[in-house]
Amino acid sequence: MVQKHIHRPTTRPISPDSLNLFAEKGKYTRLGFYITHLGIVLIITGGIIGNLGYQGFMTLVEGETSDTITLRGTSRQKKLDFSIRCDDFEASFYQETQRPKDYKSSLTIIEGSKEVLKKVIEVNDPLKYRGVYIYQSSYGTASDEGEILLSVEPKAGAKKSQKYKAKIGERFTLEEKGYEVEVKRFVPDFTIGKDKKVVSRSQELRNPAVQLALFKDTTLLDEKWVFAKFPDFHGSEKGEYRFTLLDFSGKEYTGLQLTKDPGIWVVWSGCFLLTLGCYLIFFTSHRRLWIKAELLKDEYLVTMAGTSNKNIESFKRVFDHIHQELKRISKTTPQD
Amino acid sequence: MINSSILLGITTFTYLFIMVLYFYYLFFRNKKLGLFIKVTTIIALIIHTAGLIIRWIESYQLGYGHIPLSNLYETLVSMSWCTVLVLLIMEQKFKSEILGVFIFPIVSIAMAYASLSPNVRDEIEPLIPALQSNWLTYHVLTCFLGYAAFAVSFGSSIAFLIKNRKGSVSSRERPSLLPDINLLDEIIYKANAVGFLLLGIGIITGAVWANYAWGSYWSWDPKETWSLITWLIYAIFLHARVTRGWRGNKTAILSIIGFCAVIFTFIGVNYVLSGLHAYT
Repeated sequence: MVQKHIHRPTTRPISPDSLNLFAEKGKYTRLGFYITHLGIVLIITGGIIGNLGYQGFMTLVEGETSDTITLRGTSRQKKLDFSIRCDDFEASFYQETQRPKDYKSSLTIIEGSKEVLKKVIEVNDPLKYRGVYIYQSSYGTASDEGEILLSVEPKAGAKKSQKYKAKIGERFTLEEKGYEVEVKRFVPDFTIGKDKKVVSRSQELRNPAVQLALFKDTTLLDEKWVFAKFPDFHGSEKGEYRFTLLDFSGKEYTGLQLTKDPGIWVVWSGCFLLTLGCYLIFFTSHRRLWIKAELLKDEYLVTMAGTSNKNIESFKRVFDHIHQELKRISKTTPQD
Repeated sequence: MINSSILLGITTFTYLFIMVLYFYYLFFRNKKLGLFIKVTTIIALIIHTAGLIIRWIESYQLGYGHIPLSNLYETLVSMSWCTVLVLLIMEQKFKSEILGVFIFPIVSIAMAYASLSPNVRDEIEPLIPALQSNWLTYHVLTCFLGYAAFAVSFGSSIAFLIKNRKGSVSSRERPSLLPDINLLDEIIYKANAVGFLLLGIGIITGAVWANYAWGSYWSWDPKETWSLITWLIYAIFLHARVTRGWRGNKTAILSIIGFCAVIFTFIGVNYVLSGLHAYT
């Protein structure tokens, strides 16, 4: 019965007439305190060791290879022992909301001049090579090169609109004699920055806009920004032509994050010990029970004692239960 | 047609009703009312659970299925669910029917704000790539259950301070309304221990996930930093109680400070500071 409630007891007969019985459970739970604090020490140690590693960022346009990363928080560069080539990059979007659904990069690791490893990575699924982890962190469109597709419609007359493709920085002539359009600048995510200058809030095509200049016989007539998502924005009323930005195609690049952290498994062991230790401290206890039976004249005197370092109420219930059971047994069985 | 909005709307109004019942119960201590409150709470929690499950199913019907934990609306509703669940478990374990009196106002306001405020979008939104992971469930759920345990200790701390202030004077018009002081003290301790362990696991799962997704298990993001501050406040509580024998008013006030940190970590950080966890 004691075995059922606490643990297998160790019995020690003192003399032919008396018996000592001892049972304990959860002795090792007292280590909980040490385990917890050791866990904390390991976490801090692991963090310090981790500083021997590095964290950096690299962008690769599709087809590009590189072995240099920019270290996080600085603009210092570091060369790796190997190169990475981006073979392909894909971003897919949810239909209605245009929020990103998934982005994947097909990467090849090149060491020396051999291709050692190929993997398709996506967010939450990195590539690991020689202790370095490569994560799919972000993406963008290289916007200083690329082509725009523009629709130009003369406001006067009944002429139809014409479509023109032009590279950024290029000038092209319109059908009407003497008119030229220069594609001055393109930003994928138009916003006015702190110093009232036009900047791109991000590299993603959230608010594509192109800055156009209209010339007639080398005289500048008009210069304005045209927005893909807001074709009727106020600047469009002025001028002799109505411009609409239809499309932009540029090279996409993938943003990779690279990390090497030699201390990480120390940190994880520390976390595990911390959790285990807290569990032992707050949810377990060390219980001990002593029973002594000695023969006095022709009756046995049974003495019970017990202790627990935590959760005394619950142990008391077990103790009382054993007490009741002993009383019941002593009334029904003959002394022997 | 039954959809998640209707069920969660019913839940919100039921919680408001229960809140009123608790105040009534506080003043009139009718045993039958206590039982009625418990039964109503269990039914409300079942409807709440059904609402969340149906929202989960609805998200799959839209093509981008995910557990309802991704935007402000879903976190408010799920957090309220965790709080009511932990409250019921603790009321059962400590045989008290009055613990909820300080907690249901918070739960009702959270649910009402989520459903009625124009600032909270309740459409089901698809997950951005970083959130498409099972770690979302493990991390957010353990953190929320931790917060829920701290909410129960907060309610008990308020009850403790009120009861302790009145001293031992109890007149006939107001027989002991709130539970016994020693019981409250014990509840505060145990709820904080449970919350501490759960929040610890929540922070660790967050770190593991961050490492897997971004290569950095800790980047001193405001939410990460504040969750650590919260965890440390409760660590101070536990040390004060176990090694220095603190009891009573001091520990109750410490629990209340800790819960303020919980609220800031849960909601404040998203609005006041920007970072990985920002909703805006």
